[in-house]
Amino acid sequence: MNESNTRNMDNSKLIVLNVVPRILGFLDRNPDSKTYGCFERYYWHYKLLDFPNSRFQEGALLLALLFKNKFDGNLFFNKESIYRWCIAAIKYWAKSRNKKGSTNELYPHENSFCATAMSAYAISEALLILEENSLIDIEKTGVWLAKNSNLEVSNQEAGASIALLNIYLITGKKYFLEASENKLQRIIKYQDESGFYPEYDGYDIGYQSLTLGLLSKYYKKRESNQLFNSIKKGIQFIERYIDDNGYYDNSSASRNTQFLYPYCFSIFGSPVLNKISEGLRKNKIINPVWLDDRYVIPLTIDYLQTYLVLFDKKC
Amino acid sequence: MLMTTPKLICLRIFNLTVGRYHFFAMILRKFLLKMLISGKKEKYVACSKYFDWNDLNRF
Repeated sequence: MNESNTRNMDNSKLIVLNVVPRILGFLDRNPDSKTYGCFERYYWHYKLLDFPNSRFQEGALLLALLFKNKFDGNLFFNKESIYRWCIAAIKYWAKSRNKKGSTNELYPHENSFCATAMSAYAISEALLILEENSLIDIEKTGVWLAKNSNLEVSNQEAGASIALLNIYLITGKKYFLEASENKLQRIIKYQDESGFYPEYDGYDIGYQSLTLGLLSKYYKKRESNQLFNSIKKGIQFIERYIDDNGYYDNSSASRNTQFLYPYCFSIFGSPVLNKISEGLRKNKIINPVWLDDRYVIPLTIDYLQTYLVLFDKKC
Repeated sequence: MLMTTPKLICLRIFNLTVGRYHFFAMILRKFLLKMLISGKKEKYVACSKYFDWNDLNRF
């Protein structure tokens, strides 16, 4: 393993381990509380909001990853508390869904495709990691995702696609596999010739990295040449924009995001990973430590998953 | 466009009444998309406007 990969690993790991205690503070950890397992502190603790944003429950995946993976500095490995909190977070997500299995992010009865897709991916992935396939009824969320879509926003479709694949792996029902593959085919079909996946009719580097990360996770579970080529093309599109510190000019992008989700670059061996590492070392680029409460959890999960990929390669 | 108390009250009344039904929920979604994203030069993007070191060089 070379020097730069060692550096890459340490940066991601340190950032994740620094942020985890803050994220644990979002969680209602009192088993006697009605909101036990809720990650939305503004709801259960400050009581400033009238409903919890389901995307905060993605914290369950972070806990599952920490519980299951032993690595230097991970004080959360194999801890009974982490396991119980993870289970509580999964159950809370299931309990707070709408009747048909969708979830809310911005207002009650929103039936948000984005929140349902992203939280369903995180929850289903946590269930698979913990091997708790029967813990909740995740099927109804799968059925809702299969029947709904948001083709203008590729990252959300990618989230739905991997969520449906996971739900197939949990339930064994082919319906979810077919729905997952249909969404994947549409994502690949609408990929621009230059390599970007559309985000409201244009490209966006940050959301492109998120989409590529989700597709890379799909690829790890179900390899195909078609998906491999699509991801490679998508990564090559991003590589043109990233400077040596992992920074990019977002002024002409369709959604003006500033972040980079590093996972896809670790799976496909892109030089962007070294650039991100350099930017982190110099504290030049946005990373989980800089993010607000609302978006810190998914980026932290991606950083941890990236670290675990590099750690596995080392081993 | 900022949220105000009257707007929030109206939104909640809508959410808790007709907004429970798919048809009206879709109308609200399309309305919000049009107000905040479609055709807008500066689209609403929740995950944006974080600190950038270039901000220090503005003045």
